[in-house]
Amino acid sequence: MGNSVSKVLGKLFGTREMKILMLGLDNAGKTTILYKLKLNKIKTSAPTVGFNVETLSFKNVKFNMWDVGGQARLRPLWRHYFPATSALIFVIDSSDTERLDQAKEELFSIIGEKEMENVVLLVLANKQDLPGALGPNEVSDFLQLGESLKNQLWCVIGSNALTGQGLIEGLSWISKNTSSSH
Amino acid sequence: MKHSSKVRAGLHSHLRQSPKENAQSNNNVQFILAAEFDNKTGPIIKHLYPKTIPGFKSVGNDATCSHLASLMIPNSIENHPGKPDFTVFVLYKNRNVYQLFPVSKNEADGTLPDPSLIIEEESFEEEQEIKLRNGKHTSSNANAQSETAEPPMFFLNVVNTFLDQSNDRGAYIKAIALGTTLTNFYIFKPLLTMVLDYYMKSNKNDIKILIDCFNMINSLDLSLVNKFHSNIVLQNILNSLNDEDITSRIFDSNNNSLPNILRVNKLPKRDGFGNEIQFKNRILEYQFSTFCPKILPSYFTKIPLQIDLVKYDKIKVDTSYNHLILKLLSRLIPPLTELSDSEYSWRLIINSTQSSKDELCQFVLALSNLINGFSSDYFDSSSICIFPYMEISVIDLFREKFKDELRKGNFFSVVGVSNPIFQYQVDIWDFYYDLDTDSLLTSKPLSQQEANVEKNQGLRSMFNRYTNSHAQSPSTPKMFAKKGLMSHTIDLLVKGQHDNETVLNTLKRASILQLLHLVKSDHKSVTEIEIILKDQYTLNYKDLILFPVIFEYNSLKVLNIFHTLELTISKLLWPSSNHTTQTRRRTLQELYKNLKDLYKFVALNKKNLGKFLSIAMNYPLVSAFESLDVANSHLQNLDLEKLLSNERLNMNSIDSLYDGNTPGNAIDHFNTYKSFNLLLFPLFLNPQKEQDDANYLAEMGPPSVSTRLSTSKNYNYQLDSNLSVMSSVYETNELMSHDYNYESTVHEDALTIFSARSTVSDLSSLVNKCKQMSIKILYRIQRHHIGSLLFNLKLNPLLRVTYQTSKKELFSTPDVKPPTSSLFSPASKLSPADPVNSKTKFRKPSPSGQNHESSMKLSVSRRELLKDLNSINVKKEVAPVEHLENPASPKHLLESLSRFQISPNRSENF
Repeated sequence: MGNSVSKVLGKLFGTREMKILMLGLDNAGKTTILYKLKLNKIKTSAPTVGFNVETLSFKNVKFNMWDVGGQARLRPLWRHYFPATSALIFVIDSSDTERLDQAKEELFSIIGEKEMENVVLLVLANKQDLPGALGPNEVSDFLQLGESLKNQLWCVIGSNALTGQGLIEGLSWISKNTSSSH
Repeated sequence: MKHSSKVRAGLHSHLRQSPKENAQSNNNVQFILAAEFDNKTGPIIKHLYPKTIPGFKSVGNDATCSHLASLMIPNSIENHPGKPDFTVFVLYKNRNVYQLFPVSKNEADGTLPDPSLIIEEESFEEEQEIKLRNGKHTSSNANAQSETAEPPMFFLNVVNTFLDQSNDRGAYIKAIALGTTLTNFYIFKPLLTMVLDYYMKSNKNDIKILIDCFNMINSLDLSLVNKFHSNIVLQNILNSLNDEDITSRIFDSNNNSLPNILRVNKLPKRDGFGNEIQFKNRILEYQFSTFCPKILPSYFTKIPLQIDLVKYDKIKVDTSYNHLILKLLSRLIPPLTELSDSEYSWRLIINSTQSSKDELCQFVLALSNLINGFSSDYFDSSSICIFPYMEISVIDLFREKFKDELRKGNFFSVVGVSNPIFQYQVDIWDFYYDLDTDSLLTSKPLSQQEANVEKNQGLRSMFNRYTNSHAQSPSTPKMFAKKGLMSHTIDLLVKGQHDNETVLNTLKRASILQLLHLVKSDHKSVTEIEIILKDQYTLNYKDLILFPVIFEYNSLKVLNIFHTLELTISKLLWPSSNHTTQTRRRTLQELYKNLKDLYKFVALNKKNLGKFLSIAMNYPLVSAFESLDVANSHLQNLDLEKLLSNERLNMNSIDSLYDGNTPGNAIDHFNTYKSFNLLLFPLFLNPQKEQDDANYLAEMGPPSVSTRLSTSKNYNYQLDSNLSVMSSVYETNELMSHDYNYESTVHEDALTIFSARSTVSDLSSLVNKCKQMSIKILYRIQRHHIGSLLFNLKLNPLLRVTYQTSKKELFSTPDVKPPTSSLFSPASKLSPADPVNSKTKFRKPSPSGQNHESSMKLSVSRRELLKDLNSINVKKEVAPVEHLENPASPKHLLESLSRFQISPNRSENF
């Protein structure tokens, strides 16, 4: 009953639900970001074997946020999580410059999929606190998203999952740039 | 002595086998695997012992093994550090290679497997060579078919996460799996958990630990228990018993039953390899006495392996059928019944993110037990693909494997998952059940009403439901046009608390009822090919539950005879119209034929007798359902509980003739043994009566409940009103009035329906033949080691006494050959029952009954009968055979009759 009332109110006052998919190479910080947003706690006890999914409410948007493991053998499975996605958060370890190429390759592989052509893309240049980490602009330049994504909204934001820096900003950007149809 | 060529070939090949080969072919476990989660790569297989699994390339990063690795390292395991979890996966052998799915129809029809999966390796070639030597290897299709019928290999996997600050990701995740063809593989759970713990704590990935574990399990000779489990007839009887009292007596090591069953003089103390074994009731306990571990701590060998000798389930599971499984069935069956015959096909996904993987796997396996999973033939030669736990990584392989079936239909699958993303893979499911919220989604064409509901929800909102943190209330039950007996039975089971055995037996009885109605409605003969009938049943009811045993020819035969027997006896006892002599003769002839058919069946061999017992114990309450349209499943308005309780209270059916103690609830009543009463009923027929008055019964009509109860008052049976029902029935037969001179008062009650007259005619001879045939069947049952327990413990004492007395009377005449038994001495002193006047009546016992009874003139048989009743009363633990051998002591007879009661333990069982 209560659930139904909140649904009606949500419709009246514009509450939306959307599915967000968070991907990236292993050890990029995806799970840390998810639980920082959900619980405001740091949960980095173990690598993600499959996926984590949590519901977050931000302003009048309910985000169903999926975090999928990023190990080499898990990456081919990402495509199974594409259906009904409104926004993609691609997390990059800004300090792991050796694997930036790999990350870029994976990102382009995802956004090249037909199922993902209408999603908005937020790149979180994570681990900004680590020495040697590339800044968001540098990451953006490296990814060359402007040249490749003509019809898709995208944005690169620097983040630090440990402190929460950039995370709310990122969600806010997604919220603003996704239509109610999402 | 000449041996057949087959035997000789077998002996030669056995002699040629090296000890190593011989040991390998008898291994309890065939493979042991270790996997771990690599921080960079993901799940990988680390070790495989003793050899690579044919069809899965070697260890490490190879792709073909990654499926196994992902099944061993399930998702979300990292969230429960220190808490082991279990998964099960199954490999099927197809032309010398193993695969993750059962052999599809296409493969069985001759399509070759993917050549890339076939690997050439030393051990594999070795295996081929052995087969060649044994003359087993041919390339014929027939051989390929026979190989596909090999039992599946079950892998029990244990996985755990250990936190470790020295690890760059803070934890390591490892798993060990055992591959075995034993269907009770869960027995290895405790040992496997300990081995994984040791393996993880050592953190060296030492394969020697795995080898030790492998050798330790294979150091036991489980042939005894395997033999016990593979005795299908025996297991069917044990399954049907569902009575702890009898089961404990069968397995009491101080008793003779178990050695009889095992055909040994004395229970063995050691297995074939010298390990100590001990029988502890139903459990056979194996000690690892002969194994000396090289790496594993010695205390590992101190923990015995415990194996249940009774195999209730195809796959032994620890989960309860009662609630979760039955809830799923009650949701799933209604939409299935709406499917048209041509589109009958279903693919079910069961998702749970809140249950452990162990609970999920056991749930799927338990469901598979009820629906004949892991059988090569579920419907129309198709099997059900049972996948206890599937990772998303396997989904493409699943699609590829069954692409034709998925497109065409006629495919059945049950897949357990722990990932709501499967809901989006709509091409692989027709029904998606969320175990956590008890909700069912369907992708099959729906009725207009249902379609509107689904449309309003929308795919996205459906999806979001699984990611909401709020608990979802179960979806409102929808109205369906059909509701069958099985659905009603499930609803009734869900209402109560029942153990798995009760659930299984109840469902089996409901299946038998449905089968009998189907056969009746279609006028099909039981001699038709069983596979057609099974498919017809599946298609007619579409309620998933299937007990293949009831479709076997012999089962059908026994069921059919029982059914006819019940109808015939009903006609005899409660005729619907006036009986002419001809009608009565015809009915009696029919009764005799049925009994004779049964006797011929049970007398043929011990296996048939066993089969008969297992079916007899499951023969359900048929009469109560006679008027219902069971076959068409139009039972929406049926109140099963009410029907059963009404039936319990009324005397309008044959099965009411048990001790009169009403079982605790409708399910217990539904599960009482009834068929034995059918065999005892003919003993209540009176031969003299038949000659005299063919219309006697018709004139009198069926005795009313109140009349019967009123009779009890004559004998002051008020102590137990339930008992009085039976007592009055007992009283009505002439066993109570044979051969003695009661100085009777006139008894006006019309209950003496079997009263005697003097002349003997063909009808009376027919009655005697029926009675003799009944006795012969009962005697066979009594000679069976479990049958005798049933007879002594489960049968109403009064009926038992009736049997014993009738046996003496009918088989004591010179012209009838008695069934020989050391337990019963020929009653030479007995004379054939002298006819007594039908008007002979019982006299109400006076308060000084003891004095009075001493003056009675009693025949030996009657004396013994009363004495037996007395001893039942006094001891309350009946050993009827012994009682018969004791001298009669009539002085407390009437007193004991007035105090007669059945022990509480026994009354529970009736």
